[in-house]
Amino acid sequence: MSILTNQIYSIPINQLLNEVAGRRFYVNRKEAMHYCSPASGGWGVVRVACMIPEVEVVFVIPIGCGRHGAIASFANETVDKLNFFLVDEVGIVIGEHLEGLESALSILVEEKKPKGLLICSTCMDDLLGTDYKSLERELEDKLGVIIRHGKMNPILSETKKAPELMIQQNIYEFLNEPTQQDDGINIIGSFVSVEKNSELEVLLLEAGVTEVRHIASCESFETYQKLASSSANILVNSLGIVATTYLEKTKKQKKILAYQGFTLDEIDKGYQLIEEHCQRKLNTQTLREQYIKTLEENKIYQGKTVAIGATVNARAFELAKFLSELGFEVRYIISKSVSDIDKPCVRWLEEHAPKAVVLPNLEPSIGMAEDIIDSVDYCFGLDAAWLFKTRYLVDLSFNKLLYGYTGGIELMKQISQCQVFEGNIVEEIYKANFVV
Amino acid sequence: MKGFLRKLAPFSPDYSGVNAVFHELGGLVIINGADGCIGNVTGYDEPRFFSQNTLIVSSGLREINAIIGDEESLMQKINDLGLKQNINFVILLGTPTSAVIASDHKGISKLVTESLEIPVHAIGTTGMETYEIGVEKGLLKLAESFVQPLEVKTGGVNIIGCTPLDYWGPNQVNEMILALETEQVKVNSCWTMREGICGIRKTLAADINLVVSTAGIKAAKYLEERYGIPYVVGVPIGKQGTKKIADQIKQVCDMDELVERSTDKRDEIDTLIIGDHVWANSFRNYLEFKNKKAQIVVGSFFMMAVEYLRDDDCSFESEDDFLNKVALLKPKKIIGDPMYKKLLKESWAIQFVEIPHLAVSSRLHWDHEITYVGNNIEIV
Repeated sequence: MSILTNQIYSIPINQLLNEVAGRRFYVNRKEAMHYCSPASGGWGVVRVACMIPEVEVVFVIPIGCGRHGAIASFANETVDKLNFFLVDEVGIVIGEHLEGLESALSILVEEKKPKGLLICSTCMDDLLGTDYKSLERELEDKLGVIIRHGKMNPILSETKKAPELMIQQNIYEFLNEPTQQDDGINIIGSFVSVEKNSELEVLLLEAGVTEVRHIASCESFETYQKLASSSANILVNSLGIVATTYLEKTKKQKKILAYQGFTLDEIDKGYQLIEEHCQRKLNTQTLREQYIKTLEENKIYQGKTVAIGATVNARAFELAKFLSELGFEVRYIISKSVSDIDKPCVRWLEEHAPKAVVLPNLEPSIGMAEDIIDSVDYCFGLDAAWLFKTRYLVDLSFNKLLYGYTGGIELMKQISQCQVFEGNIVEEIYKANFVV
Repeated sequence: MKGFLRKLAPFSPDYSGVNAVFHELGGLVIINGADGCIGNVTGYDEPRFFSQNTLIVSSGLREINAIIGDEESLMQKINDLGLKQNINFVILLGTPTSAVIASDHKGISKLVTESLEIPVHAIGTTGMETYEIGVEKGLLKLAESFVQPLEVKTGGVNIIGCTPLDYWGPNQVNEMILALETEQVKVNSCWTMREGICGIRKTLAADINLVVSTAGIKAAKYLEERYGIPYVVGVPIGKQGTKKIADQIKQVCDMDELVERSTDKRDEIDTLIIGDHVWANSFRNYLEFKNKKAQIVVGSFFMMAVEYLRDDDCSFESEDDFLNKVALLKPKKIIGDPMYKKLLKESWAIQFVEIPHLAVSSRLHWDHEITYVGNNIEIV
């Protein structure tokens, strides 16, 4: 039995920018409830917090917070650095929890001898204004380890200090002042690095970059510290925007906004910015030609309909543009927001994919649908494949970073080699362990 | 140290417990909090999310709403949902954030009930207690507000306290019902799996209630006081256990002599069973039917019912408390959720029998199909 109206709120692409301008370009309606299915979300704060090697993470939480992140972390990898300090109503209101926390941290430091502690608080401490900064200073002296404070506070979602942005900064706050900067470059904003011997790495090394670094590749606190020596950061995903600004300010590392993209324009633009930083021409010609050739060969999808989800490791509107160029008819885009860098793509889609409509990723009327919303030939992202009946599914998981010309070629290969999806989409969603 | 988890994930919170009670009943569940709160429920505590149509939404509480105490917008959001007339109810639940700003959910419920002409029930969750507290509150709300007077009594038993958080598995509830039916006990209603709202409404047609989880005891007591329906506490496990329960149901006999067990007490503990207290007690009975001399202790990280405790039974307040108590008990075998294995020292060489408890390990083991109720026990 479906209990609510079957009208699903959506925004035609040509009205999108006007409609969301009044809500700071967030697609979800301010006046609407949020529908958070297991198919929504991403890595979540807990899993990202655990990326710093040899740093113990302590979430100071009521029992109702952190369970999803903990289970997702346990499901994905061997996490032995995740700790929870549970608070109750009275304790947190009178600030008593900080006393208990101090004892807990002492035990942890004594037993596990970490190089640092990342303490993450939640919405409650935010509202009560708990002073973690003083605690940080006091306990650093007492315990003799670096202590930093992060937040898992979704009440600040849709702000400039949204938790998914701030945690990306927190994971670089353990970096010391570098004694000397080298010609290394960090990749920021993605959960995984580019693969070894990937296009980006080879091009950068050829251009004189000494090392391409990513936090996920750091096996020890010592190698993690090398991130501070890099002279620049390539921002591949806007999730890392706050982090790169922080690193620019504190470590004087230049910010290169070379976002991941699949269209020729976007890839070219990214490499131009990197070239400007390196003050050298990158040897992209052959790759670019290969990409253009593959692109031409793959313009074979005329009339094939597409839905793009919000759980793809890509910029949804940029991906929509790329797919339209391949001939796809983009019908649906599920999205949380339209960032500044996406606006040109939206304007392009207004003209070239006028039938496309945008669904807010947390739209409650999605949960009220009496049946599947529509059928499409291809879905990109598990959330799209759950909402729309599809013949082909391209996952585009957060666990792999497709970048540059070869990233685009790889995606085209995935599309062309895609088998008819006969799997169980619910199982796939659970395997992905998304956290809202 | 109490409240410090180094190996375990936080357990299911109270609002997941309430949702588990109402999930199949054709209503709308609203969690008044930021979106992370609902993410626990939909993704990690509710395995029926994709198979049942009950809608669960988050109010999307944001800092500005919390700081200025904006409850108008929550009411507006509920009104704007465009609820259809065939909705049975709305359940409004609190979270840590709404608790700390003392949101007036009762007031909101009253106002929205008036404007929508749909019953809106506020259930006092805070996200700071564990699931069984929420299940208990949800079941009590069902008993107080959803049970309807009936003119005809058709007999049978109501099973009180089935939620996936305790009894997940493809056939768990079916096994329980089948076991009772084998003993000629007719099941009138099962709170709250496998039944829609109609099952709850016909509750008063039954002669007796069977409470199968600790969280169900309060509702059963309420139904006894309010409607004179007696109750039995226990889970049908194994043929003899089921027969004993069936006998109690038929005769409403005394609980005390459920199992004949040896009065010789040995220092050596054979088995420690960890789980919901009512289930764990029943599983102990099952094992004792097989071996009267077995020394079995029940323990739980969750609420335990004092009246059903034996002397050695223990409540675990923390990971450290668990370790200390296990070190003292030195059981040869532990039966419980696989997550607890992480707490044990390797040197102890304790045999561990895994029975997933969804409120503990969530999705990590919910596909681990195992039958731990009824007549077809697959373990031990």
